[in-house]
Parts: sequence; C-alpha cells; structure tokens
Amino acid sequence: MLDMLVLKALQLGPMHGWGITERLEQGSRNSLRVGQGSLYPALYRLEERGLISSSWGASDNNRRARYYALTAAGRARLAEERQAWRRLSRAVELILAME
Amino acid sequence: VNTVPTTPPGARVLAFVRRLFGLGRARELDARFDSESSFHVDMATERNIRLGMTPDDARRAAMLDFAGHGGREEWREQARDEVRSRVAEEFAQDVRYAIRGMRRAPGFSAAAVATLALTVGATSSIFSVVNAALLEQLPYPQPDRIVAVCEKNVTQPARELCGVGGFSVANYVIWRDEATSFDAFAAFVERRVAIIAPGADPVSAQARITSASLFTVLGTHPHLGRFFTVAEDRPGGPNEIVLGYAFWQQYFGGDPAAVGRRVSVNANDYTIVGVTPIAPLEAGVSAPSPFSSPG
Repeated sequence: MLDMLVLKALQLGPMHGWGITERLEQGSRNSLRVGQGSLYPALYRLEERGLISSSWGASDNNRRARYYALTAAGRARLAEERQAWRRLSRAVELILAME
Repeated sequence: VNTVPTTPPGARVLAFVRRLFGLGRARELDARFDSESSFHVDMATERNIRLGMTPDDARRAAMLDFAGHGGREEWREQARDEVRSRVAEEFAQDVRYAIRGMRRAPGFSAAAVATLALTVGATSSIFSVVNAALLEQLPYPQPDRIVAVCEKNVTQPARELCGVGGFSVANYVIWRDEATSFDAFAAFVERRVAIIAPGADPVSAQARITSASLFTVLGTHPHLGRFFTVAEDRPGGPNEIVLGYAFWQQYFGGDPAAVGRRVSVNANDYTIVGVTPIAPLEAGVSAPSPFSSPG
C-alpha cells in the first residue's frame, strides 16, 4: 500500500524523499506518518522496478537532493493499484456495513 | 499480471550486467544513501525548529527519529537486499516468460530447438573433422611434406576407394626408384603378431612391417638404439625389430637393456635394435618387411 501512496505522491510532480513524507502527511491531514525506515527502501524498490526514476537536483533551500519522478510504467501501475484498492475498500466497507 | 515492458531490451540487458558486477553500484548506493539521509535529517530538524524546539533538541529529535527506524546500516541492507532479490526475481521472470512463450508456440519452439541442436552438432562434428584433417598437424618434423599415395583402378571408376595400403610391391619399387619429385618413399603393412620375450608371456601386438625408409620419410630419430638401415632392407636381410615407445614401456619397463635382446615374433627369432620416440607410430612394433625378409 505504501508503494501506491508513494506513486500517488509523485503523480503531483517530481519530489525528494523528505518532500514525499510531507506530501503524504499533508494529504492525509496529518493522520499518516511515513517513517524513513520504510520510505527509502520503498523508493529504491520502486526505482529498481522501473516505476519511478531519480536524479540529483536542488531543493527549495538550494541543497542537493535526490528527486524522484514517476515513469510511464509507474503511472500505469498507479492506475491499476488504484482500481484494485477501490474494489478492496468497497468490499471491506460492504462487509463492515453488514447487519 | 502482465505488465508492458517500457524499457528497451538492450537497456535491460545492460542493467542486468551492471547489477551482476554490482560492486561499483553498491558504493554508489552508499554515497547516495548518506547524502539523502543527511538531507532528510536536516529537513526534519528545520521542521522541528519551526514547531518550536531549540536547534539542539530539534536535531536530536530528528536523529532519534531516524535511529528509531533502524538507522543507517539497516536501511542500507534493506536497499541492497532489494537490489539483490530483484536480480534473482527478474531472472526467474525471464525463465517463466521463455517457458510460457515456448508453450504458446510448441511447433515453433521445437523447430527452433531442433535447428539449434542440428547446427551445433553439425558445426562441432565438422570442426573435429577439419581439425584432425587440416588443422592438427602430424607429430613429425615438416608434416606438410608427408603425403600418402595410393592407387586407383581407372577401369572401375565407380570404385572410388583410394586408401593407404592398396598397391602392389612391384609398383612401390617403381615409384621408389623412378619418381623424382619425392625425397623418400616408404611402404608398410600392418598386422597383428604374437611377441614372446624370453621368460615372458606371449603378447599380441599391432606390428607395422615396413621398409627401412619409413623413418626417413617421417623424419624421426630413435629414442634408443637405431632404426633399420637401407643395407638391411633387402631379401634375406636380418630379422630386426624396433619397439614402439609405449610397448617398450609397458612390456620392458622402459629398460634400456631391451635393445639387443632377442624376442620371438610369430615364432621367428628377431633382435630388438631400437625404440621409437614417444609418439611417432601408434603401433607397437616395427619389423623389416616382406620387401626385405623372406616369408
């Protein structure tokens, strides 16, 4: 699931690891905190799978940072995961709403 | 799920090779990790300051947060494991993909496999023939100047047989005396003989009954003793035998005193006059010939 969230965060545009955690926190209205211990392995994994790419760039405060960007394969994967997630969450909701 | 590969095959092969020899890559990952993590801690520190912490506390909190997630070593290990398992996974994926492809088109796959098998087989067998006939040289000095001559019956053109050994003694004598294009002529026949050394059991050996000039033609020198002389190479000449090196090793234990001893060859008395060098002739024994000795 973290993979899907990271892909979604990058759909908004290329970003460095720190920025991704911020996006996820803000996007979830601070109800989700992503630890670095899971974020960076996820980033490396996604990059190895060709779903994201990375390159060095300058951050807002002009520091060297690794920027990650969604690839075409990543975009396709995000669409797939999103559909699968919708199906799953709807199914879970239906079950929880059983009377 | 079948995902569409977006990277070109060439780039994937290159990436695979780079990962196989991934040492440089591991160092690159380390450097990248250090840079990324210090940036991350700095950013977290700044945020903590914005939230009202003193700079020292802010930094300590950021570091603790970091350490709480396993710290640098664990992270790095996870990242590396990710790379490693990815290689194995991709390989397995390629194999599965190949098998699926073969199953989808069994006829085509069979044809491809058969074609490969045939061409590999044909190429290697042709190579071994060419290697033996053209590339590998005879184990003698100036091997390119040694030729085999044979006779062919022109009244029977259908019979293409032209092997070593198919000629008459009379023709050999004419070639030897009249043909001026050759330095030397030699003739031999091969036969299995029974050899008995005094006090030993009879031994069956492959003998080459030869003209004395055979050793001149091959250009070899004896390991021990001497070869036959032209003077001996006549009807009624002495009964002499030259031992092959391997035969001498096996039955005479490599004893130099073997030269000069007498052995029985097919119940006739022969004198051992020499031993051939290590691998000049595959046969065990050479003896003066029907051309020189009676019977």
